[in-house]
Amino acid sequence: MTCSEFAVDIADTLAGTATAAARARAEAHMAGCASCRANAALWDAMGEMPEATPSADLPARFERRIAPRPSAPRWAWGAVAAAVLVGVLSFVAGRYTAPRTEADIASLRGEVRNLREVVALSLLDQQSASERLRGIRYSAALEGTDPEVVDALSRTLSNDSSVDVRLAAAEALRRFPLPAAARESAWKLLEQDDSPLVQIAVIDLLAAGKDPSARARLEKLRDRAGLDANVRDYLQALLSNQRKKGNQYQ
Amino acid sequence: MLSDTDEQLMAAVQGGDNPALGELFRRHHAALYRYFLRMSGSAALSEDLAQDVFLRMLRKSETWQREARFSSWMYRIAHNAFIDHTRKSKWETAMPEKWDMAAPAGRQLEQDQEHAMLHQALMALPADKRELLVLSRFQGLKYEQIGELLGVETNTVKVRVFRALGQLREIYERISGEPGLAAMGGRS
Repeated sequence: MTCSEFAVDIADTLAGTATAAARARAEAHMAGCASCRANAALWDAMGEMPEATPSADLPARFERRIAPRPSAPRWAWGAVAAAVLVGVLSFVAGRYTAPRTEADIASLRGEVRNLREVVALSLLDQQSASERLRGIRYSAALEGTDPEVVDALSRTLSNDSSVDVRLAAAEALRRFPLPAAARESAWKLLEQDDSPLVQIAVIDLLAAGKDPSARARLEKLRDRAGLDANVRDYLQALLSNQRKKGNQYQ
Repeated sequence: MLSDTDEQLMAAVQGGDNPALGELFRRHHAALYRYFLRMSGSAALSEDLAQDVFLRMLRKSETWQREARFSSWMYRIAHNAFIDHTRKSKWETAMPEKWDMAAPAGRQLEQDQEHAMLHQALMALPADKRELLVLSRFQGLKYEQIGELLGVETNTVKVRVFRALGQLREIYERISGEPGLAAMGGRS
């Protein structure tokens, strides 16, 4: 008989759920089959592997996420909807009743842009990580620089519990000139964030800015004990490349 | 609340009681974290996904049926969350895992090397086979529960576990360069 014919008996024996007869069949087969004995040894070895534990503060972080948060009141969404309606009606009315001027068009563009900002900020405040990711994509598509949006992205980068969202926020922030406060938050994050992927994204963000002290701080970070080896290698390569390009930070 | 069963707490969540979800999280987050860690190899991602499972429970609490076992429902959501994640960002799961352990010596060193190779072999296994072994060996789910979760017969689960174990052994032997697992003290 082949090994496969004993598959059910062996699986039950390994899990400790076999009947006496099934266990006897499995053991008789394994006594003469080196492959199935090795499989069983592997099963036993898996049971001896060390168990990892999550961060001690994970339950507290989760409870903060599900705690009721102040959100935009219903009337705010009503106001947004009303503004859209007024904007559309004004546009339609203006189109047929008065000649369009450059100022009208600029004004309408401004209103649309404001609406996009409101939507982006609201999405960034959502409980669902995928909604927050949508908010980041929205923010990245905005024209110009709105300090409120940059501030919201910076807060997301520092505080969001999802690695995916933090990564997307770091990427989106690269589009904007980073104000000093946001830059300092990013430096602080490099000390605290335990995700190597996020650390690398923040390093890219800070290295892409015009901060004259960035190079020295990145070198200091590279030499810091306890830094993830992948992050250190990345940082080393980045600093070497920059040196080759002519020390753009000095 | 502490003496409530998981199912009673979930019924409370359905009624809008968010602190009940916090208690469920405290009870099960470590097991879920280990499930995701064995599946993905990333500690940070595993913490995010463990939270994501409970947030999905909150959003979709109406899909939980009171006669259903809570842990089976939880692992179904976890299974879907992991599939969704791998579809969205395959590149992230490719990051190597860092195991923070004290430097071992002697037999401990040998055993840790075996565990590291076994971990490597598990990560090289196709995700569906890895999940069968993770659920049955590490998470302690019964074959019947795994069958319900994956929508297959219990005996099919057993056959698949047997095959996955065989494939894991082949990968392990390629990594370790040794046939068999004599060093691990296999069954006789």
